Amino acid sequence: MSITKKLIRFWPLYLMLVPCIIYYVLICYVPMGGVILAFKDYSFRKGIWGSPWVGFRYFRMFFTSYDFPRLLRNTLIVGFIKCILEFPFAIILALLLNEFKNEKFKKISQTITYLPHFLSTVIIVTMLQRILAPNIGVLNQFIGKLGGDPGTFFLMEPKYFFQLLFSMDLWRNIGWDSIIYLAAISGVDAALYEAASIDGCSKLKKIWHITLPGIRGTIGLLFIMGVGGLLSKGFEQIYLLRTPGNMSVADTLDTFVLQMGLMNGQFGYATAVGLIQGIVGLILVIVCNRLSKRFTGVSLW
Amino acid sequence: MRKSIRKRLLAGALVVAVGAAGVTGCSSKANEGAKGGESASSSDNTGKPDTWIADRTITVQAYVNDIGNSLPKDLANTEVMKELTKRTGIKLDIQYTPGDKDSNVMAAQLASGTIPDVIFSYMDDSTRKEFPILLKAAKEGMFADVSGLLKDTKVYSHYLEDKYLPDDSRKNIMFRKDFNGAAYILPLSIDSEDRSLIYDPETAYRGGLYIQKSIADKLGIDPSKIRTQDQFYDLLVQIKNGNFKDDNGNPVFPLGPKYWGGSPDTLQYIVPGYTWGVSDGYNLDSNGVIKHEADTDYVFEKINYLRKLLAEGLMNPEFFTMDGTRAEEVSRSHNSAIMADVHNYQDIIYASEDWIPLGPLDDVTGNNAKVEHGKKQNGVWAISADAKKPEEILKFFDYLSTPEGQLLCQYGVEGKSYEMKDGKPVLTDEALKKLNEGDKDYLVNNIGAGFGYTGCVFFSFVLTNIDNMNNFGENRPGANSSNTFKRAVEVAKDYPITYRLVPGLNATGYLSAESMTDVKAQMSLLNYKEMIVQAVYAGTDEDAKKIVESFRQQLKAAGNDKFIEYLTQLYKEDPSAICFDKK
Repeated sequence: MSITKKLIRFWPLYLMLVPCIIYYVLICYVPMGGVILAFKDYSFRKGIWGSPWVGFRYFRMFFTSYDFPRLLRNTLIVGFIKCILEFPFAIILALLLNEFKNEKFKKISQTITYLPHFLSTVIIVTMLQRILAPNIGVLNQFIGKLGGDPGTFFLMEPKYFFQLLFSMDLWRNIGWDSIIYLAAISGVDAALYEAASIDGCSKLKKIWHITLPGIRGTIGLLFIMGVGGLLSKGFEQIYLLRTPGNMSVADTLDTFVLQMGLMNGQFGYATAVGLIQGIVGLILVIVCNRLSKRFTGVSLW
Repeated sequence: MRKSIRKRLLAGALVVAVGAAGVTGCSSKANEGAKGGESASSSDNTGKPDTWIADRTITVQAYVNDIGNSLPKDLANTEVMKELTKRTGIKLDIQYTPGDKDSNVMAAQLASGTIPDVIFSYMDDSTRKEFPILLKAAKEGMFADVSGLLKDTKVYSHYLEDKYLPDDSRKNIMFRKDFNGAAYILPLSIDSEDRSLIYDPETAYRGGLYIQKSIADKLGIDPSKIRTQDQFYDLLVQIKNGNFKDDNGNPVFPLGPKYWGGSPDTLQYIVPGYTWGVSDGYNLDSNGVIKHEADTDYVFEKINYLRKLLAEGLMNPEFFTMDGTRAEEVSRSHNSAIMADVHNYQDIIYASEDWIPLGPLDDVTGNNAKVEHGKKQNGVWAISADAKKPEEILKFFDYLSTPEGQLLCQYGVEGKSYEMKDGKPVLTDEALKKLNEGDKDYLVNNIGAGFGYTGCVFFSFVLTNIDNMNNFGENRPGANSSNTFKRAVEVAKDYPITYRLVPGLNATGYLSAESMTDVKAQMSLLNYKEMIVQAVYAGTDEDAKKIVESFRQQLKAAGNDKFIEYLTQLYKEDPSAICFDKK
């Protein structure tokens, strides 16, 4: 069927699509024109288009700046924690929840694990500050009761920063992220499990040979999409957890963009760094998509 | 088939409804915007009072959270605004946009290229974060040039007089060389005369270190005799050995955070003896060479001293980072024997007799007099280049700063919130009662006057040419008849401080020069005080040294040598341009 025929036949559906297309064009694509700022010395009065061109000045400034290696290293570590390290945990939780026979217990467990997702980062970080406070925090008091030193100031020591970030992020998102895997698991053909039982398959083998291959497509897609944000992950948490003590590891490209752009009014410079993040993210998505297509057959396009 | 037609019609109607809702939403907002931004002006002044300016609305955007937090619910119907409109014809539409920081909101709004008629911002001096943004906007022609209008004003014409404005306000903010004779940014809250070296207990804010009186008494010390860093350390050790308990029975920390929350800013009170870089990190060494403190040994003395306090449990480990709520809690529960910073007009000080000032400690020159740089300013404002008839706007704000205008702005309307006695205003019993009770709703929504920054702050913030004692016989409304601040004045009287003049601006104020643009961009990412804190909390002394070394390299890479060269040149031309303080 030709496109014209499809348009005529399904016109109500296409008509209903129009507001969505307008939304994406206006809100997501038109502002992308703003990346041109990365090559301009932005003038408040002349606006984006009227400001003078400065070529790759900001990119040169950034790549030759003293802070570049440190910012990149910190950003990559945070990206690795959030995109790679945390990734399997939601799948494992979904597999565990799927194995629960008691429906009531399953639902309670699900609810408890989802709840933290609805708390704002500010509240979570404030709670964390209280829990980890030296001498009076719950954790330090517990350490003190066990005979340890209750004076550890976790938030001021760089060596604890990534562990805290990982634990906090996992606690907040694991339940929410597992929903999509649970939905995918429910779509796996029940006959396969029955056949496996008849053949004497153990639970672990069923998970390995039926469930996981059954949700392989979902896992692949979510991974590819997550990798795109490798350089721009979790700004709020990092910004709020940053203290003078841990700033050597807590400064990332995102905090740099905020400091340069909004706090110092260097909009062009901040846009250039933001653009680098976006381009690296796009390249990562394309590469991962190709690799995934070649080796597993799963791909976004 | 009929069902299918019905579905299609329904789908079509849905899309039309969504579209219509969107269009309606936009047009409603646009109307509102047009209404808010409207600045209709009528110049028919027949039968109007002498103070009449024009029948128009001035739209104001304030990047000042104190103003935003004290805006009346219905500004047009407060006593002050009704009277102002009656006298001048002007109506005000004051807008405030809350955000993470006012400076961030300002940067984002100015970057959009359009601003309302007038903007107000915080600005103690040109080293503040807001200044580079305002300077960029001024240079790009976003603000109206008022230089030609000043001579016709009653109050702002003083700004044209030599020595009226503080040096920084004149040279770096208002009459900059690179403005080529234009004036875009107007400083606020300038005292009519320089009283910066006069200590008047009736008006003085006595800030800095405060110690619990009961602890000082038990130890038998005179807190004003604690002057050196060694004496301060010994006092902290004495407090620790005294095993004092707070209200909850927990041991006190000898040194606690400042009342408003932990901050590296308090270094100025606890280690002034090691603060060699008095000019925002810079100073002249004994050979007359300009250096950053990080490149001297003072940085290690400071860090080692603080590391010792921390290691020996003499200061609260959260001294630099505690949030405001908890810092207030530890202060109120007497968990800190010494508060790193608070002042006598904070209720924890004036509402009880629990705390008394400590020190101040000697600075690097062995003097504990507070360094003053002369007159001060507090805030700036600018008129949009697109505002209609900027002369009317200037005339209006000029009127507010006349004694008549200031009386209305600070005290409200005669007969309603004050009466005149012997030529000076005295608050009515009701207004005084509400002021003492801190009834903000009455002060802001009913009267709408500033009441010395305790009511509608906008009307205190926008004033200049301040001379409250001569104009009104008291430093702030109600000061003479109120008992609330009696203890605050007593504290200032019993624990006086002295001042000494070191003219000039902090060195980093000169980073806003055109030739320093790239250096400033890199320097703005460095925070010396945060580095100090980072080194204080480093695992080992070796790690602390590495942090300092790394900072030295960052400073160099940011273009510190170029900046020092520029400062040296400036200093040679005019030694009073930069506030260096040699030992």
